[in-house]
Amino acid sequence: MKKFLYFFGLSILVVLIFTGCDKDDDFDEALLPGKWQSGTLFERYFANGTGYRWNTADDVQEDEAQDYTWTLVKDELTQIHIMEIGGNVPRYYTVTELTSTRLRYEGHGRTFSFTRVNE
Amino acid sequence: MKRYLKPAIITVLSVLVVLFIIISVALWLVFTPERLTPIVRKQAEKHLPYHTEIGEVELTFFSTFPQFGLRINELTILSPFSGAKSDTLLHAGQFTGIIDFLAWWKNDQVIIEKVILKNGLVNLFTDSTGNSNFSLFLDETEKTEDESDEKVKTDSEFPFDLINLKRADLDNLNIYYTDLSANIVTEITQLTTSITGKMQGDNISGSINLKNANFIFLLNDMLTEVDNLKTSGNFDIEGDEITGNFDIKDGDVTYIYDTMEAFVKNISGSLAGTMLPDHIEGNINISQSQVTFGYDGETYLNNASVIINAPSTTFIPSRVWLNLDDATASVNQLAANLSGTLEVDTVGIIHTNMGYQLENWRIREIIAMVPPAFHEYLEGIEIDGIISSTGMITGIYSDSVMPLMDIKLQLTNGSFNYAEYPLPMRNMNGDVHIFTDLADDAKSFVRINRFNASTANSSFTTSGVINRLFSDIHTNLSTRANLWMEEFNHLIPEELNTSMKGRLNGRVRSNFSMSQMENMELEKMRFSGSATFTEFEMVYDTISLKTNGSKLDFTLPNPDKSDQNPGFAQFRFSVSELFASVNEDMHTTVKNGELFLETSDFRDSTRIPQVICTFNLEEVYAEMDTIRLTIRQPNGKFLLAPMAGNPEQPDIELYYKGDFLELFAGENNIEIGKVDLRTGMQHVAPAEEDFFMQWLINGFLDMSNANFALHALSYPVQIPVVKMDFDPENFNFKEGRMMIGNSDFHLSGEMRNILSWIRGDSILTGRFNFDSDITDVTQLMSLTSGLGIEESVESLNVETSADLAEDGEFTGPYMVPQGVDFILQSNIRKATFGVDTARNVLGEVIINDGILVLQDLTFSTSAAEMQMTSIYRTPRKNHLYLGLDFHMLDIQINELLNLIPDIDTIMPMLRSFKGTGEFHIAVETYMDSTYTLKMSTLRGASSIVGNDLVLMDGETFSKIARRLWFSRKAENKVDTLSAEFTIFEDQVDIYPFLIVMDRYGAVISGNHNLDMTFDYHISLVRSPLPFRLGLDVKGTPDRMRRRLAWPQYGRYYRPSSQRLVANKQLELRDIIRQSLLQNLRRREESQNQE
Repeated sequence: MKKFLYFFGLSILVVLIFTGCDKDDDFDEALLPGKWQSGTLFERYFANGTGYRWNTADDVQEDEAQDYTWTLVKDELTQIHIMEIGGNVPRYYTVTELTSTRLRYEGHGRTFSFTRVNE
Repeated sequence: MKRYLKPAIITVLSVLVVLFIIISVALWLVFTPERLTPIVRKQAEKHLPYHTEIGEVELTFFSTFPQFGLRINELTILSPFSGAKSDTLLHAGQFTGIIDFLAWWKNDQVIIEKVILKNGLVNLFTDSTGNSNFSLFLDETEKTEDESDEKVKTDSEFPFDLINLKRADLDNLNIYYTDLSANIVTEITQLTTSITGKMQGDNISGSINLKNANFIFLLNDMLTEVDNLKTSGNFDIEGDEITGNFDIKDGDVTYIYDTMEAFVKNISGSLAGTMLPDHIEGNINISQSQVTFGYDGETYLNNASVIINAPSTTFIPSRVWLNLDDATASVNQLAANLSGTLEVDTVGIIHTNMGYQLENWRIREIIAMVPPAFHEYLEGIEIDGIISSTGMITGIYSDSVMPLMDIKLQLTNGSFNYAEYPLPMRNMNGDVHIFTDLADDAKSFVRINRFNASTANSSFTTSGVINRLFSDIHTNLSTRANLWMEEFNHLIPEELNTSMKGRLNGRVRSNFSMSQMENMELEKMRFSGSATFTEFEMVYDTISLKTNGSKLDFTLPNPDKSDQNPGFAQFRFSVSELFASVNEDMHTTVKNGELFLETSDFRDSTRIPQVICTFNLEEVYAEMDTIRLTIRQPNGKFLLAPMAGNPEQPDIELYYKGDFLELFAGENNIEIGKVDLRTGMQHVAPAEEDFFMQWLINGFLDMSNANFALHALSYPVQIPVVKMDFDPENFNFKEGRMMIGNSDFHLSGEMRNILSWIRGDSILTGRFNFDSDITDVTQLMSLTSGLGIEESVESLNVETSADLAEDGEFTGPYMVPQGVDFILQSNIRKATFGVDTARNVLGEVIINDGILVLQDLTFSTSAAEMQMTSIYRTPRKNHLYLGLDFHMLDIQINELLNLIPDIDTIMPMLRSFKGTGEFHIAVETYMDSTYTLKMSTLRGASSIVGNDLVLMDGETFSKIARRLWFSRKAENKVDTLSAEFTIFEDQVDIYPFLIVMDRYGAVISGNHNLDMTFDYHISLVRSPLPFRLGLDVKGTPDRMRRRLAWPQYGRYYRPSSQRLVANKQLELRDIIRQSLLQNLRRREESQNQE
């Protein structure tokens, strides 16, 4: 029993230690709304948690963009892409930089870097 | 005897000598003028009321031998009278009278052997008050008559048994009579005549030989003058009956009244007859005369030869009644025969019952008698022929009433030529009956029994009746004509630019009045006839018409008029061969046809005419530019009528049948075997520009053996049979079999909202059963691509042309028709799509306003049974949306990769498996015009499930197997495979799935990029190994990096099904419905905005 309590307490300690060592990267989601560009790839975020994405390299214009909803919790950016035929394709990214002019996030083995497009 | 002869002669001669001596003594010694003259003067003064002057009176014997005569020279009776030409009442230069006194003395007979009057003058004058210069003679006569009357009362016997005037010679007697009270002037001058006469009892007979006389009779303004009259004749008076006959040897007559002048010269002839107190009967013969007649300054006859022969003429003066029996009168050899009566009653009304006959009057001679003033009307006209006529003139002639004329007129061998219309007519023959009183329509008519004429190459004949001559002339004629049309070209005004050739043979019956003609009241007129065209050609401007053996029958009004048939006219046109062309560019040929047409009055502009036209033709051929049309055996019925409630617009019905129709138009070719069309067309919206908006069309079409090879269609279309009802809103395909390109299908169902769709009020809907043995999907898509897309028609056309490869193959993209809502219940035994083939395709194909939906479509391929629901939308040509819900059961996975090569790209690991599995995928993406995926738009989810799959010799798994010490070598079976993955753009996320092989079980997850890079993690969750093991696999198939890693999934981890695809299927069904509703809402909003 002592042995069990020992390992249990050790575990909690380890958890607390690792929790305490977690990187505390909070990004201000208020900086996200707007139009962002990465080459021919564009994303637009609205403050209400919606947005859309398009790529002009595929001859897609902004009014033909595909919708998603987004959330930004600390550095976890979640995009739920909404298919026209219904259904969602979730995409989970980690934001590494978010300023008024730059947005960087990575996930699914890829890194995206955007700059804000002022209109 | 000789013994007594000599003494007798001597005795007689002696007596004669003694008598001669006695007479000589008496003449020269006893009855000398000196002795006789005073005696006569004294007796004259005693018995004559006027002063008488007698130059000399002598007794004659030798000059009047053998009678004694009394000669008075220079006898003058004077009667001075105011206003008279002279105071001489009577003058005789020499008057000799011989009377047989012995007969007077012995037998109470007055025998005037001879009376001679030379150089006589009688001058009678009556003034305006009625007093005359000879009134005293009248008084003496009256006194004598009174005495005679008294004597008659006492002794009614005439004192003489015989008065015999053996001869009276009047030489140069001049008689003047002027009566101012009656306004009469009469002059007889240079009268020289011999008269004999005898009166015995009541009988008087005598003779006159008028050697010369001049007569002038002037009454008011009427002058009658006879000059140089020479005549002789005999007369008998027996009681009241006077008979006589006179030969008129010569004479000139002048008659002038007002503006009328008549001169008769060289008149000769004879008069014979009997005259009773109120009855004159005789013969009148004028064998020669030259008549000149003028009126109102115009000369109507100029020295015309006039001959009259009235053999049995009766005249009753009291009734002014004249009877002519076979009288003949001729003017310039134009003879007329008269028989009948003429009477003038007491009020001046003429009663006639006169027959006449004209024989062989030469029209040229009649024309020659036309006065010069009327020559202008005949200018340029040459007319000839022979006219004969018989007739009766019966009835009353007065100022208000005309006699009834019954005239029969014949024209023989007539000719007519008018310079303005150089169409000389000849062989004119006619027989006309005119019956008229010149006043009463009821009695009057003109009957043309026959009239025929000919030109150089044409002829016509007419007959009939013309009546109502004095109100509204009405004709009822029948005419036959055989016309060589070339002759009539010069009658056509040049501005019409029309010419004709050939022959027209026909007849026309007409029945109409002049007012109807003037007012063009065709509905009241009657026409009928027929015309046959032989080698007929007509050219009007650029329009040419040729026909041979065609026949036109027409009747106005329609004899078959009924409640259903219009009554205005009926036409029947039979054509053997008809050729028409316009501008040499358009040709039409019709062979062996008949057209039967009935029509109402087409001139009524307030309503469309009612027309019924039945046609039956053997062949119609038309050619224009590159268009050629051939129709064989077209027949049917065309009905045109005013539309109910709007008679100005047409309501058309057409029943058409044809055995063959072929149309070449450029590169387009249409061939139709049989057509049975029954249609109705109503022109309900004439203000609309679009034809289909203007007309409401309904009917039934039965068409078979039709082939369409149209340039706009990439593939030929064959329609073995199609039967359909149609109306403005609906097409109802009862039966339809079509072969389009490689496709062969039956189509049945309904198409609705057609007119509303054209109006833009509604979407075009269709519900069809599509039953096909073989369908080439690619070809059908090429045919329907882009229909209804109006926004970019121009660009669409350009792009569409680019959609076809050089070999004509459709290369896409397929643009979903817009504005339509079609649902096809498909049953396709074999469908080909490019190189792919599907069999037993069942399900719904929905085309809805730019969206193509394949709903619950099941089919089988060589790989598997498949079920598919998909949405295909084409917002623009380079932006094509495809949503796909695809289920393949029992599919051979290797066949799946062959069927959909893109699967290999999405999930390359599948190439390592062989066997049967299930494949489900729900995916959406946009594509460009070449159907290349726009990877940035790719979203999807998929699953694949397989059992007992054989692991192929895939390199990756071989290496993995070696590294994991699999006991089995190649083709090891995979007990179960159940993988699910999502697709986002060019990246595939593999959800953890368990794969069990032999003693091993592994959970695999990761992602895979479409550039063939991947990043997988494999956790070994079941193995004979005493420890857990994981493996990360990254890189590309060519450069794969493997690294042992801590397993991400524990020994007891079992991935749960994400049911991504199942959910997606449900969502797809919903999204289809939502998409359709969304389209509907979009249209409604659009209409509301408009």
